[in-house]
Amino acid sequence: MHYPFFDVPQIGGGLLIAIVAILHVVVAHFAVGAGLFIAVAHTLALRRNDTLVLRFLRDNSRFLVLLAFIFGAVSGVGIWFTIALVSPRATSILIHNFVWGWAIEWVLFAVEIVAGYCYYYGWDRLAPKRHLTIAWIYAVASYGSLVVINGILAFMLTPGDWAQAVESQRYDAAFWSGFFNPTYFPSLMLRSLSALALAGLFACVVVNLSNRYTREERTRIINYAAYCLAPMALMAPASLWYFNGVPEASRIMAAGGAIAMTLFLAFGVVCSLMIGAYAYFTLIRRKQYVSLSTALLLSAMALVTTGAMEFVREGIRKPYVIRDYLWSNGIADRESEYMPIALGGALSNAPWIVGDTDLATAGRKKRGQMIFQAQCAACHTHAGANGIKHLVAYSLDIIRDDIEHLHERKSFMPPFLGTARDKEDLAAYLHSLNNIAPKPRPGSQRNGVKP
Amino acid sequence: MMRFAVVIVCVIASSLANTATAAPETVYWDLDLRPTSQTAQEGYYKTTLIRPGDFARLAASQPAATRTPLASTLIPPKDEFGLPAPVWLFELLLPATFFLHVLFMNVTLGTALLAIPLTMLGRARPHVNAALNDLYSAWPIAMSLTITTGIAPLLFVQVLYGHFFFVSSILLGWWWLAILIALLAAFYGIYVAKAAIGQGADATHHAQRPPSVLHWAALAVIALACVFIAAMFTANTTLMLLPDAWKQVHENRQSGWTVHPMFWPRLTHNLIGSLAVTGMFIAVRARVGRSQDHEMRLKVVSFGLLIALIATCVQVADGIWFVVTIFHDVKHAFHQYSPGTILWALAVLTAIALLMTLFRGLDHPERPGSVWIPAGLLAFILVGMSAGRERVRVGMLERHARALYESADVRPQTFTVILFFITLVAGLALIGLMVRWMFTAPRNAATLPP
Repeated sequence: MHYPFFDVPQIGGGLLIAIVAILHVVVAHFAVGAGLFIAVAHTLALRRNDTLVLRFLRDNSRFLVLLAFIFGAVSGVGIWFTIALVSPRATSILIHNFVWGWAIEWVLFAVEIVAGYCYYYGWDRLAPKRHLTIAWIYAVASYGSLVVINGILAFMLTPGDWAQAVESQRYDAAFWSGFFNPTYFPSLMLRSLSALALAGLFACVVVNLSNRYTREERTRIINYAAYCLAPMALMAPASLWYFNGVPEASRIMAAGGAIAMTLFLAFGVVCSLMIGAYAYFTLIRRKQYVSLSTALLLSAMALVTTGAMEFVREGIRKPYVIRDYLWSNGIADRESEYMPIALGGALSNAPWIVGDTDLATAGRKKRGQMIFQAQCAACHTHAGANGIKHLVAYSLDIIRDDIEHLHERKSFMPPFLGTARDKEDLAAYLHSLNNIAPKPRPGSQRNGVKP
Repeated sequence: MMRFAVVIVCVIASSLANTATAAPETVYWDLDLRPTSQTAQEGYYKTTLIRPGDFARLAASQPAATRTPLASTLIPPKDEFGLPAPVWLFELLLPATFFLHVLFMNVTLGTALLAIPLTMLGRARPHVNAALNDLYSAWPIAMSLTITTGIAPLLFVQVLYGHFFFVSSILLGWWWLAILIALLAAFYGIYVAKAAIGQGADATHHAQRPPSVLHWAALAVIALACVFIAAMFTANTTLMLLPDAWKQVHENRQSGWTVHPMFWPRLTHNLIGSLAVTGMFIAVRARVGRSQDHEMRLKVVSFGLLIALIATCVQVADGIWFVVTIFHDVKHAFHQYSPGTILWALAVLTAIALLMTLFRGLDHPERPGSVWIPAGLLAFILVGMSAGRERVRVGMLERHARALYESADVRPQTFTVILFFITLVAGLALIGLMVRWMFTAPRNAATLPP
């Protein structure tokens, strides 16, 4: 309401964030997992004088720089750019509560980047011991960045006692109770498993991209990397742990309440189990080989899995951006904020939307359209993704009634805030979009059942 | 001969400066904030042409509450959670981290601008090629560190001025988001350009082989992408200062890019500045480099100093143009002696010293002071300019009543701040250690067991 609206036609702002975020999460998790993988593998290789693994780690470090340091860094900034455009108020709230978390994350990220470059350029240059130390610095810094960002991400769904601590003016406590919130540790476990798995999968890809390895050498590296993949099967119990901590409304949504969420969750868990089982039985037990195309297929599965899980995490937060504090449409779930809107009108404090329009004389549909933009457009496009046009194919009475009881009938919707006139205007606008005239079908109730 | 060339350049630069100083007389904004009888009725200001400084005159002529009815409703409220540390701490961290960012950004951007001309020049001049090779080897890391060090000032600017910055970002919308595509294109372009030269290329090898079409294309993409990014950052950080113009931009009656006459001088200030820093970087790199013979190194040092000198001369002219465009809007801010004002004024004076030392350095490139003294002065100028930039920002925003965070908005997270500083010190120490290891390591030492 306080900010201009960033219009993302057809796909909507939420999906735009999801696209950027999922691509980033995959690459960022890879960067974290690869750090642990490289450090452990490098340590063991030096101990065992294993030149093959060292040769591979060198190739892997180049891949790390080209993928994680470029795409990962740019897409990370990309998430930030995107959320600030789509949800400026939520971004502002996160920044003003967790700026020091982000600042610590930035330091860790800087150490990670410098360590990564030193590791990459350190081949043929650094003494083995120092090179290994740098590998460990990279591993710790990159895992540290996950440890920090995980707190802020998990906070949005389960803010814990944060709000109470803010109200009682215990600001340090507010930071930490928001940070170490009820889903912090299960979420960290899920992300760590995903990070390891992605590192293992990308290792299978990297070793297949180079023609400098014999088939036997590739098989050895792949079997080695499978130890990162197998723990992915633990995603299933970790998900249970995670869902134990989420608010009840979110849990209901994931467990059948919102079938899309349930399906995505099931896809994610089943895919994880399949990848984990494949890694254990085929690669670790039977020491089999994975071709480039299979490695890419597995990576694609991991991308879909990560995407599905992230989608569920975002989805079950509805109708909030920050659970119990900020609704998806950027209005705070606080009486001091929503009562003036409910009593004074949905457009009473929306200068960017109202502009020069004289609300007293504006037409009903025009006002309805502006109200739609103020309270609905954050999630609903006109006719694209989650398009409102397809959701309002009802009579005016039903639409009006639905607006009145929005949050009671659909737990993922925020309440409508506005006067009786606002409700009428919005209903009139929505009804005007409704040009879908369903044809009577034989057998339908409307025609009566005919034998 | 070289001295003569430099004098000529200086003359051209100063005449440019005169033109530039005259220019604002004819520059008009497509925007009017002067209340008229009509606008008074409507509660906002109508579109006509006004001159730079009218915002400030308007500010002085009317009390804040009645001055900008439009702007005061369009500026979002400050964040309800306030600032998690004192205002001064953020006001210190923002320019400090911005300074770090511009160090790397200038090398990245300057290399992007210089790569094509230097590739053309370098085919017959080995020392130009040597300079180019130095730039190439540093380029990807400079780019990476530009992004890394850019995160912190982006964070702190959102803490202090998010309610302005988010609005201007949304108003620029897809153009602003397009930075990400440009960034990816430039970053991968650097690796494509490096690969197009070939592994292990040295000055002579590079000179013998004409650059491929792919190489030229990559350089062109990088240059365009980097200039685009610079233009977008300039546009956004300018538009965020002008809530009075937001409505015009929002209704597509005014381009969000060039809403204030400071846009062009500010953009060129960034571009030219990057050439000066990159020239200085070439000289420093050649000074500490170990790969070339002594004679060649001196030539490269001179070449870098010459680029820095020419760019600084033009920069002085451009800086005057820049100051003229914002003078009326911010002169009230510079009447107060704040650290930002003092550092900025010292930086301006240092620019003269820089020109002199660069000029002298060209005659004695073999002396260490010919490189290190101007490098130090240039670094100080960047510090001063970063600090002055913040003063200008505050100067322009404080015209809007209660729009900036004050001490009453502070809700301190003391322990977390301390934790950040501990992490920062430890992180910087680790970075320092790793960089030292890299610079003291002999090349071609065996990491791989035989």
